[in-house]
Amino acid sequence: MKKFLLMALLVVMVVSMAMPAFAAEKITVTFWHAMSSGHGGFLQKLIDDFNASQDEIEVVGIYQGSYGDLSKKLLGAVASGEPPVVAQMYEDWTTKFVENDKIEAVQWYIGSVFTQEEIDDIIWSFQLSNSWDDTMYTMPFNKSTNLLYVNLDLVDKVPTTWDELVEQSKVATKDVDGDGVIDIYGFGIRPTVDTFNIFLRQAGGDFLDENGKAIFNSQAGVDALQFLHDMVYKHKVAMIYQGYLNEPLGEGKLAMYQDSSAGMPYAAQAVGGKFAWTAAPLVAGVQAAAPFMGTNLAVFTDHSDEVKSAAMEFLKFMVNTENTAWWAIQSGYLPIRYSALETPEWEEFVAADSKNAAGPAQFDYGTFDPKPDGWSTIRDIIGDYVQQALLNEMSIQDALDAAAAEANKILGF
Amino acid sequence: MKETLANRESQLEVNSTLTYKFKERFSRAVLYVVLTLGALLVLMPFFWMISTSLKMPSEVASMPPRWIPSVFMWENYSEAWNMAPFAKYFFNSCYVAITCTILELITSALAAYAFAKMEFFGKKVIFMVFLGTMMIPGEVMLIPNFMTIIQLKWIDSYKALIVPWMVSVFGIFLMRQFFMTIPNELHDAAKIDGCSRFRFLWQIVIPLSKPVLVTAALFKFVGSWNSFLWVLIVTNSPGMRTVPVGLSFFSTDVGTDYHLLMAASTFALLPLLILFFFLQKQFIQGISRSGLKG
Repeated sequence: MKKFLLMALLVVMVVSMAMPAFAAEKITVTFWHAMSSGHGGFLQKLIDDFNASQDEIEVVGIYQGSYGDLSKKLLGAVASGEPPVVAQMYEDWTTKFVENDKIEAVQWYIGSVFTQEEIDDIIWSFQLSNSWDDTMYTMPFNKSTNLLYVNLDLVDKVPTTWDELVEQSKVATKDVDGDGVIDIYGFGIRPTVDTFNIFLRQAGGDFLDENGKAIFNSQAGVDALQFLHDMVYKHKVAMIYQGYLNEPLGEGKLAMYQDSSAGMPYAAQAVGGKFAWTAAPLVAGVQAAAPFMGTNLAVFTDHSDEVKSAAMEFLKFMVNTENTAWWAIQSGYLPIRYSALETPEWEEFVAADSKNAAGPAQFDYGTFDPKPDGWSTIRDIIGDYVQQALLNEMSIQDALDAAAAEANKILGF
Repeated sequence: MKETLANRESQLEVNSTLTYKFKERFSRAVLYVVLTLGALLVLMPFFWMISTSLKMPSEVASMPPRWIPSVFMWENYSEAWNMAPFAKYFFNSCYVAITCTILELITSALAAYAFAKMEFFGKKVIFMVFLGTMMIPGEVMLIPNFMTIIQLKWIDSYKALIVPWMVSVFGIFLMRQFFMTIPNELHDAAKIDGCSRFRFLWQIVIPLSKPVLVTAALFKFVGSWNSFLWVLIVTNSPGMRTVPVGLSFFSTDVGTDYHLLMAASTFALLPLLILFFFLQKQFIQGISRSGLKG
């Protein structure tokens, strides 16, 4: 009996001595991201908060340059079987990895890490854009949308439809000194794929059909480009501008433009309090539509189950109601769940400035870029032809047909 | 008669010297004007960099551009310095650039000597293959090279930053062209005196080739100092990264903090500037002899 007690005591002692050592052995989760400057600081704060919130998992955030640099590094690392545990990724990069079973699906962790309610609370269009074959693989994280920027001193009202946009552009367009040259334009157009995207969706069109074949040269595509073309050449109320449109807006030479919500701080900087301005939801064409963009968080499969669960816990923390609201308020990206819009912090943020409500107002009609492998290349091609059509170097139909033909070659049609 | 002829001749001589002098002065003046304009054109971006590094953020993009900031924001420099661990980055940049440069000079000199002064089977073919590798764009090799580094387990180490860059075909080519201008008679004479090939290279060829060595070294040092993507790809921890990675912190996909970026660029440029001041003479000699520029 004595011997047994002694043994038991010894076992307890050894175990108790070993316990803290075991507890100190944390699971390391590497997280590759492309957030520099101010955004990088906010991201690091969230990572630090997560590490401080529990003592089993240590997340190490690693800055990997721009999105382009990050994508190259991911490609090499995954091919070599040495991916990070978590990374920020665009949908079209993810497609390639999902096809090769390299991404651990968020959906597989409903019940163990996530609750169904937690997933249902995520903005519906974000759920869709993070799903492949009806399985949600990645977690939306830093999302932005397009908005209508308006110099309120130059228009009678903030337009909400295409017709009103033309009307208000006519109101704003002026030849101030009477020399026959227009000094203030109503609307600014960057001849890019992003501009085309906005108007294509609003005209009721889409880039690809359900089989993944390019159809943006349809009537809707033509209508979209024709509308922009008419603004410039027929009504003479819009200017084509290659640089960032916040510059002419700030100088008082432009009344309105549609561009990314992430550019709001730069618009505010350019205006500098010289006149009243706002950022409003986009105008609607045949239908209301607003493109959303930005990256998601993905977990890679090449790790132990323990590490992957830990990574999912990290994702859960990053986008919980409190954190997604905090991140959105700090960074200018959008909250990714409905419940965040009802937090006192968010309500205060919107009450302080109506511009902050414009992005979430578009959640119900959000659209996303298609995500086939090679989409980045196709985007560049479309951008080239859109520019040629808007600069009158090609007819609208010819330009869209040529772009669709090239896109279909890449898509395998 | 004779006298007048002589007189006339000397008169003519004076005239032609006068016109010659005038012509020379005129062409000099034109030359200086053109060179001054050229210098101003080249210096303008540097001036913009320094002036922007002292501006307030709202002044950076103002139209028309402001050349002199309204308020000198010296704190931009300390703010930029504290955005990233720049002290560590400077150490890494110096260490990697110096090591790469020394190693490249050694390997290039040895290879260039072989290609310039020795006869062996397949020399021309091997040299062409070497030159051929220069035609492959770096981007194509980036991912395969990265995968090699992963397999070697060299990720996040100085080895990954140095070893792949210790040989440069460009350096070999540059030195080979120079070594070929050194007469073979020197080698014959040295050989008669019992000099080995290595000693000939080390004691005769290298001292004669100082300008080309300095040129190759500067190219390498500047290239290594500026290299960004490779460093970013093969390292993960901040302790292994270099100055250009620090500079990328100031840009995001939605905009750039130009005032901080320019402050950081100014202090990132200083080491190169100092190096260039000291080696200016050799650098220019090297360029004029090899017909290459940066």
